[in-house]
Amino acid sequence: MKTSAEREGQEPDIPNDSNINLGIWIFLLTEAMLFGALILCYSVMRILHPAAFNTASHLLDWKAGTLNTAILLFSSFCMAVAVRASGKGKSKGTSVLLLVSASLGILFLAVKGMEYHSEWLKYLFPNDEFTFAGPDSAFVKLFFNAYFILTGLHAIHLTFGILWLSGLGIASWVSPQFHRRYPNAIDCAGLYWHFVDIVWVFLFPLLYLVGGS
Amino acid sequence: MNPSPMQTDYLNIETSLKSWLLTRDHKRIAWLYLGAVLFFFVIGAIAAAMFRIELLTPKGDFFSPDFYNRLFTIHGIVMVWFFLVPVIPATLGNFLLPLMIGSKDLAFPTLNLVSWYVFVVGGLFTIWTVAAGGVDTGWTFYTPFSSVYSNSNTLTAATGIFITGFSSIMTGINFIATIHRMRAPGMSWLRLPVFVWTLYSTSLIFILATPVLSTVLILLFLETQFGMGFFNPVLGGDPLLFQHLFWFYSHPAVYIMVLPAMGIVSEIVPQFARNKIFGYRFIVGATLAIAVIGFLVWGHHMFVSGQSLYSNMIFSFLSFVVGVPSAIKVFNWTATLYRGSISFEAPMIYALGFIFLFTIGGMSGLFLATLSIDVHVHDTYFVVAHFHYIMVGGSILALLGGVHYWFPKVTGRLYPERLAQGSAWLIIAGFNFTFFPQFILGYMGMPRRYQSYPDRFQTLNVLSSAGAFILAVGYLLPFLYLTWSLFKGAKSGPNPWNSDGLEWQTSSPPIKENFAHAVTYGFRYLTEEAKSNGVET
Amino acid sequence: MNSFYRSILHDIFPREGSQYAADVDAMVLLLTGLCIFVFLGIMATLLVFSIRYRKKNQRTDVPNRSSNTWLEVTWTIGPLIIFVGFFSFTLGSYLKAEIPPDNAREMFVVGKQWMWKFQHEEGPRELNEIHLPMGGPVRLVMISEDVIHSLYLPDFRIKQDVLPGRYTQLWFTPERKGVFTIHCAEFCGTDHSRMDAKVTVMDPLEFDNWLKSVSTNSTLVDRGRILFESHGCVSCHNSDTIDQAPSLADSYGKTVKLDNGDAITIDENYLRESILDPQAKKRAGYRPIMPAYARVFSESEVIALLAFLKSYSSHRLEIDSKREPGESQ
Repeated sequence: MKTSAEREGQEPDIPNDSNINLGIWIFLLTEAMLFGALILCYSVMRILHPAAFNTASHLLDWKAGTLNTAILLFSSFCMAVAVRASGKGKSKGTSVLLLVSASLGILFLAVKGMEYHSEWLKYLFPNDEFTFAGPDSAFVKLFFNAYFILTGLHAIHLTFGILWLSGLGIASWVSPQFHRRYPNAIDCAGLYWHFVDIVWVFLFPLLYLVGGS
Repeated sequence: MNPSPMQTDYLNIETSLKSWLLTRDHKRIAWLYLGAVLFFFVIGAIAAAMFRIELLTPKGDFFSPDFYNRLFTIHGIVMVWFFLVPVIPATLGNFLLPLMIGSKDLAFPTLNLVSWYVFVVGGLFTIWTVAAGGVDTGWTFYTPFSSVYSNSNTLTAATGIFITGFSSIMTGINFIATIHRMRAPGMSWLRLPVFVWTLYSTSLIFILATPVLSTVLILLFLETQFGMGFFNPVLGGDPLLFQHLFWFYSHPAVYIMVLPAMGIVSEIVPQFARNKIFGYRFIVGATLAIAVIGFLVWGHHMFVSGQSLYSNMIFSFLSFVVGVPSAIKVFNWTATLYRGSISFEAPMIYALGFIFLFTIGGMSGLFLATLSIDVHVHDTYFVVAHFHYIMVGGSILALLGGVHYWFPKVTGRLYPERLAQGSAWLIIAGFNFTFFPQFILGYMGMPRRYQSYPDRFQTLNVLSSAGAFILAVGYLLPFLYLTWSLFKGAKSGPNPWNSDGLEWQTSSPPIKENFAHAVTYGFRYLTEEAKSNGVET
Repeated sequence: MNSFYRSILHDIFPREGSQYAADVDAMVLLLTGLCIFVFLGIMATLLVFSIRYRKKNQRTDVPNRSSNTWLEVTWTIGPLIIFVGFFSFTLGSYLKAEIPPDNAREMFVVGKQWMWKFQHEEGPRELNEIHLPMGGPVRLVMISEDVIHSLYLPDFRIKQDVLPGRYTQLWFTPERKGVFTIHCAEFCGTDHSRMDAKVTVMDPLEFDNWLKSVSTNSTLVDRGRILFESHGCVSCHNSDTIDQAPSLADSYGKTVKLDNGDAITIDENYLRESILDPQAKKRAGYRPIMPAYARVFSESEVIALLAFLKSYSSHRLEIDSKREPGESQ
C-alpha cells in the first residue's frame, strides 16, 4: 500500500509554501506585539517626564535619522520590485535588486553606527559614564535607555534581514531554478523586510521628531 | 484487528535514539515534550512538598526564610512556564491536532521539533537557576525587588523564561497555520472538534501575549544588569508599568492553561454520555470570547497596587463579564448529559471532577472580581486557593482525563480501569483537602508567600499539608500504572471507545503518516470508510 | 448547635474592627449564599442526569437536536445580569472605602524591608506599632523606601500597596477597642512574613494621655518648617519673591496651570515630585531655576516638609507658633 505522501507525489518534508506565507504573517504579528509593548513603555516614560524627553530628543541627530528613513524607504521600494521580478522568473534581476536592498540596509547600519559613535563620544550612552549637564539628567538618561533599546532591537532585526536577503540574492544568482522550487521564499523575506522598515517609520518620529523644533 | 509481525506504527517504525531526537513526527515530538514537562512537574512538586512541610508549623523552623522564598518561587516558575503553559498544547495538542483534522502532520514539522529544543534550552537555564542557588522573587518578578534588591539568580531565571517564550510562539504559529491550511476536505470550521477550537484560541494567546512577556523580560534584564531603569522609581521609572506588562501576558496565560483543558472536557463528556455536545456553536463562541476578553482583564491583579480608581472599576466590570462564557460552558456540559447513556470510566470521572472543581474555582473568581471583597482577600491564600482550583482542579484534572481517554490512541494499549477510577477519586479528594482550607485561611487574613504565620492559622495549614500528601499519592498512581500499561497493557484495538472522532478512524497507535488514505470528512461516510479500511491496516 | 456554627463563623471571619468590615462580611455572605445556591443547582442537575441517564445498554438512537438557542441565550443573559447587578450593587461601598473624608486624622507611614515606620502629625514616631483613637477616621499616607510592600489590616478588611517613589493612601475608621495586626501582603524579601505591626485602638481620652506621655518637643509641622528654613526654600518661596517662585502659602489643594498647558491639583504626590524633581511638572510662568532635592531629603524629611506645606498659610502660621509644642489639635 502506498503512503499518502507517495500518492500525492510530493516530498513529504517540504511544507506547503502558502503555509509558510501564513506563518510569516503570524510571526510578524508577534513582532508587532514585541515592538508595540516597547513603544508603549517609551510612551509611558514620555508622559511621566515630558520635559526631559523633549530635551533629550533634541540631542539626537535628526538629519542622520531623516537620511536613514530615506534609505530604508528606498530599500523597501527595491524589495517590492524584487518580489515583482521574481514573480516573473527574472532570477538575475531579482538577485541584483535583493543585493541592492541588503546593501541599503548595510548603509543604514553604517549611518546608525556613526550616530551611536558620536553619542558614545558625547557620553550619552546610558552606562555609568553617562553625563548630561542640563537639568533632569536621570530622565534624559531614561530617554537614552529607550532610544538604545528600541533602535538596537531594530538594528538586530535589520541585520537578520540583511543576512536573509543576501542569502536569497546569492541563491537566486547561482540557481535559476530557485524561484520555481521556492516560489514564496522572496515573498516572505519581502514581508519581513517591509515590516522592519515600518517599525523604523514609527521609531523615527517617536524618537527624533516628537521633541518639536 | 489482524496482529501481524509486519505491522508498523509511529512507535516501532524506527527505534534508534537518533530517530527520536531528530524526529519531525508530531506524535513523537509530543512524547519528547511529555518527557520534558514531566521532569519539570517533578521539580515543581518537590518544591511544593517541601514548603507544605514548612507550613505544618507556625514558626519558620524547617528552612531558612530565604530558602523558603526560593521554594515557592521555583514552584511558581516551573509550574507556570515549564508545566502548565506547554503541557496540554504541546503534548496532547501536538499529538491530536493533525489526527483530529485529518492531516498527516503539522504545517511546519521542523519548527515543531525546533520548538522542543528551544524549550529544553530554556529549561536548562531554569535548572541552572536552581543549581546555582535558586531565585527568590516570586514567579511574578515584581520590580524593584527583582531588579535591585534581590541577590538571587533573577537573570538566569528570566532568561530561561524568555527563551521558552519562543517555543510557545513557534507552537502557536504552527497550530494556527495548521488549522487554517491542513484541514481535510469536508472538515469545515464548524465541524472542528472543540478541542481543536480551544487549541486555536490558545495559539492566538500564545502569539499575541508572549511577545509582551519577552519585552518585559528584556527590560527587566537590562534594568537588573545595566541599570537601564524603566521600572525603578529611583531612576525615573514606574514599577506599576512592569505589573501592567507582566499581567498583560500572565492573565491570558491563565487561559492558555485552562482553554485546552476545557477542550478536553468538551471531547470526553459527549463521548461518555454517548451524546452530541450540546450547543456546539455556543461553546466555540464562548471559547473565542474567553480568548478575546481575557486580554482585557489583566488589571484585576492590580486592584490594590495604586492604579487609578477608574481602572479598577473598568477591570472589575470586565472581570465579571469574562465569567459569563465560562458559565455558558458549564451549562452546556451539563446539558450534554441530558438524555444520554452515561458511563463512568476514568476519563469521565476526571471530566466531571473538572466541572465540579472548575465551578468552585470560577465562583471564587467572582469574589475576587468584586472590588471591596478583593481589597481584603487580595494577596492572601484565598487567591492561592482560587487559582489552584482553576489550574490544578481544572487543567491537571482535564489533562489526566485526556491522557486516560487517548491512552489507547497514543499507545495502542488499555490502562487498568478500576485502578484509574480509584486514583481519580483519590486525586479529587486530595485536591479538595489541600486547597479548600486555603479559601478559609485567606478570608481569615493569612497573606500568601508567608513562611511563618500566626498560631490561629495552624489547623487549616496542617489540613492543607495533609491533603497535599494525599494528592501526591494520587499523582504517583497514574504515573506508575500508565508506565506499566505502556509496556504490558492489553491491546486496545483501533477504537476502544467506539468514538466518532476522526482521530480514532485510523489504527491505534497510528502509522507514521497518520492515515493510510487521503481523508475526506463527512459524518457517517467516514466511519464506514474507516471501518472497511481500518481492518486491513 | 447554634453556638457551634457561630464559633465556626467566628473563626472564619476575622474580627470586625469597623462598620466597613461588617459591610464587607455581609457582602461576602450574600455572594457565598448566591454561589452555593447556583452551585448546588448545577451539581444537583449533574447528579440527576448522571443517575437518570446512566448507561443501561448500548444506545442506538442519537438525538438529532443538540442545541437550543433560547436556552443558550437564557443562560448567557442570566449570569450576565446577575454579575453586572452584583458589580453595581457592591460598587458603592467600594467607592466609599476609597475616598477619604476631609476630617480624617492623618498618619504618615514609611515601609522599609522589613519594618513599618509611623509618624503622628503631633510629632511622635512609632516603629511597628501605632496607637489610634477610636471613632475618628484615619487616613494613612504611605510610601516605601525600597521595594513594594502592602499594608494589610485583615480586621478592617483593607489593604493597599505601598510603593517606592509615590504616595498611596488608605483610610478607615477604627470602631472597636483592642489590638489589631498589620501584615505585609506584597512579597518583599527575606522577612516578608515577619513584617508585622500592631494597631492599638484606644478611647480618645486614653489616646490623648498616651500622646502626652510620648510627646516630642516639636510637631511634624515644626520639623517641616525648620527644614523649609534651613535648606533655604524660604528665600525664594515667600511672598516677596512671587515673580521668582510660586508662593506656597495656602496652595495645597488648589488647581494650578503647568507650562505645557495642563492643569494639576496640588496634592501630596505633586508636592513630593516638585521638591525632588522640580522640572518634571513645571508651573506656568516660572523659570526652571529650582535645583532638584532628590538626594538631599529622606522620605521622613519629605513627609515633614509636606506636613508643613499643607498647613502653610500666613494665618495658620501665627496660630501654630503660639501653640504649646506637642499639643494636639
